Amino acid sequence: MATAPRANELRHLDPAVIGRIGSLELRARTIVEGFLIGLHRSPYQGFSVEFSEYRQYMPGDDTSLIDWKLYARTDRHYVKKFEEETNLDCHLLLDVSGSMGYGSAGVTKQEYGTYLAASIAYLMNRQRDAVGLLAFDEQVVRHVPASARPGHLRRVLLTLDSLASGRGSDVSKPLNRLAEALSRRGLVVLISDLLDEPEHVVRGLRHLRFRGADVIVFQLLDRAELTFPFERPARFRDLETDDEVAAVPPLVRAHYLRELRTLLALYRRELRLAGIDYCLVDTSQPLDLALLAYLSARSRRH
Amino acid sequence: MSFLFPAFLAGALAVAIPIVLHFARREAAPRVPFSDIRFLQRVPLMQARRRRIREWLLLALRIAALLLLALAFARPFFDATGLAGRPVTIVAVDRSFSMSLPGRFEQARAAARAAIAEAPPGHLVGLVTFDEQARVAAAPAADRAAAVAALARAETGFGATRYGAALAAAARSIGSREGRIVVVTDLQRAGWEAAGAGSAPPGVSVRTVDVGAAGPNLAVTALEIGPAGAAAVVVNAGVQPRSSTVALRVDGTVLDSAAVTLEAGATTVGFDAPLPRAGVLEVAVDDPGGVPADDRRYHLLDPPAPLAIVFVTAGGRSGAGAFYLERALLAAGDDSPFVVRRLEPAGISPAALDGVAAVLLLETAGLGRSARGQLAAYVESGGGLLIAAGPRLDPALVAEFVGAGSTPTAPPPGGDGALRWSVTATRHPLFETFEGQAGTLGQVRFRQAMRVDGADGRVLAAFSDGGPALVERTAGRGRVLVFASDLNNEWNDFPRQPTFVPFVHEVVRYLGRQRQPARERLVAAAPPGVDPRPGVVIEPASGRALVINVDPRESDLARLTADEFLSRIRPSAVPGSAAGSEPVDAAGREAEQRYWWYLLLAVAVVLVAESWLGRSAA
Repeated sequence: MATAPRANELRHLDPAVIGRIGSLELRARTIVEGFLIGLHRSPYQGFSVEFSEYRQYMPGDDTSLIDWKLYARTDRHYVKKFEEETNLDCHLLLDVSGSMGYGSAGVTKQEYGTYLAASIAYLMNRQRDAVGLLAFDEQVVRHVPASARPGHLRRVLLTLDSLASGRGSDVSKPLNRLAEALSRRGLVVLISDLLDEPEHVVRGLRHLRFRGADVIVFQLLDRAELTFPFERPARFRDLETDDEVAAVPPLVRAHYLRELRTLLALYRRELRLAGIDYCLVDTSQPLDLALLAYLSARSRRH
Repeated sequence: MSFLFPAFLAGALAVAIPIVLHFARREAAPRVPFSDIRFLQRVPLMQARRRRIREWLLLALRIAALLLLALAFARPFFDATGLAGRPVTIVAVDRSFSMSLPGRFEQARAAARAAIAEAPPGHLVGLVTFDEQARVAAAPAADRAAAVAALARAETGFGATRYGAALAAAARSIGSREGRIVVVTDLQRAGWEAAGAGSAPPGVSVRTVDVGAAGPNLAVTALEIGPAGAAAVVVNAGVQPRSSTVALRVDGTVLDSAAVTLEAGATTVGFDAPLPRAGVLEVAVDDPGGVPADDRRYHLLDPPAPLAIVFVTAGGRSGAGAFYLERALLAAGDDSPFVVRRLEPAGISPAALDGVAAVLLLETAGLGRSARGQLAAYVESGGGLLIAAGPRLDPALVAEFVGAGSTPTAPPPGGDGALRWSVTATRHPLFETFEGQAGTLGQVRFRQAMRVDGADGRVLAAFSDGGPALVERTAGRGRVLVFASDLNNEWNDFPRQPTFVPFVHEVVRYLGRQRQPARERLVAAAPPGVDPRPGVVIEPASGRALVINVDPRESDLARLTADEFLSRIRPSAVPGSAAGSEPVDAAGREAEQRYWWYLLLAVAVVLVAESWLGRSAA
């Protein structure tokens, strides 16, 4: 049974705090460890079947995990811990198009996506899953094939760390390419703002699904994109095309939000129909919601 | 359209402010990077266009508000209801009291109506009524009904005829246009003699309509009160002797009456009945069929309030420097028309001089700069000041009060009284009482005098050596008299002469005249706020009673011929719309139309609309 993570634990998952931590590996570890501490009574702990180690019982641990035989021998409470078998190929698809470079406060969507990808990679590595990375904008920018070898995590994290913001985005292209290259069923995690033609995106994801992959989609959107809080008339410049449009926010806000809601509803509906997990992430929110969504999807894999 | 204050139209330049702001704010729209502007681009064009239209509408409203405000402050008006340039006929109707003979004014109205009807087609027609003052009863207008209606409202008054005022008002109404002036009058000669010749602008013809000679008329033209009683001057304007009754009333009660036969011309009717000390005296002559307004004349019997006189002497209350002067002024005992007070030079202040009719400055020790300034201000405001030279008077003070350039110097001591003095301005009001016997003043022997050279004033009397003895100078509304010798028996023997008391009384009365309230006025000079008709009134400003009488000159019914009338009119050099007359006219028209009020209302409406539109756009 899951309980809500406590506030001081969540602090470690705040994207603004994470942004101040030095290396990406450290960030990923901070996120994941913080996240797992918050989840230490989570049912997700049990998806592994292979015994890993004993740990002294801490108040709050599930009493069903207490090894009573060991208690009889040592007169101390120990809980059993299990380890996941490595049997999953996980592909992280990270959008680095120009629109991902947008961030109204603190971190940009791309930075947030990077933390999220790194965290998931770290989490997978912990669980001996094979993890791969594919960064794209209009085309594939970087590709790290999935692997569970030691040191591979470091390669993935270094690659993530070195990604620069790209230009226009075309989500369907890497999806199709990955779908063609997918050798066995695996987990595909798409991290993107999905500000693309929705038909293309949905078609590409269906393609992947058709190839047997489990797909989780994290749609990252900035708080400003979700609420359009601007007040003063301004000329809005597109980060991808450099086009400009002059607008008076109070006048266009209603229309903008209606259009956005329509887009999000379309994704939600179409992806559910395609059996794809869809998670809308507000980049001003802590990363745990995204990680929870991931783990939820991961657990359904078993 | 014209403007009363066209300079305010410059305020319309302020419309540049919203225009500049409008475009400046458009330019100031900042660039904001955004992830995806597709949704923004898809804002329906109509909405953006509506927004633009609304912005322009807001701008237009703001500009309109500023323009209307500038227009309101410029006080626009339409001159002569927009009919500038059309010729004008002004009918001027005499409403003086000589027109109040029974049936006379009705006759004048009919003649005026005819004159209005006969005005040439295309003329604007206006109506002026006049006695001593002329009033535009109907401004020139194409609609003659206004003039006819104003004529129906016109009544005779109690003023005297003044043709000059009528012609001036008519010329102002005509302005620079061509026109005609039709004067409907009884052609009284006195109407010209009192006001001098009138003038008519070029292009304006003058015509008279005679309402006929007056019949026999009796008038009380003067009333004199002496120790023996009252005497009235009654004028019979006809050529035949007339019998009539003249009654003397006090406060409405008949004291005396006399049946008299009045020859043509003036007759003095005396009344022996003793008069009370107070009340309103009225003399009335029975004159059926004559002009009613001049049949009676009023006089106020109440003694005038005593004049407050202040002596400025170094000793103040105990000083002896004003002994003779004070005794002379108070010679009448309890009935003295003067109230006397002594003041030290240091005590001079606006409060101390309040209500004082005359200040007699005899000694100057201790008279500081501020006290001198206050004395000067007192004179400027209508006070009277007598400076009498003497051993204790600073000669520099004389220079100060009788103008720059005068160099009063004290004479060397000594002398054997060889100096005499004589009046040089014998017709001056100061010497009226002496009635040609001003020479008796020459009895005075002056042992010493002050030289007042180059004085900036009028020399009323001179010493036998040619030096000025009495100098008058007006300053502001007041007067200063400088007597170049002393009035306390030190430099001369004047106080011991029989002429001293009347001289001093006349000097003080003359100086205090400005401060003495009038007790009788003519209708034309009735104080403001008082109905200008003969009788007793209470002056609103002071609360004092005064009597109002008609101008006796109007009772002289001698007539002019029409040609004589016209010969008195000289053409004026400039057109009627001379700069002097136009603003009066413009202010009057603007005040009638008051378009500024509607403009301000429009500004308020525009501002409300602007704020509503602005809020809905936000």
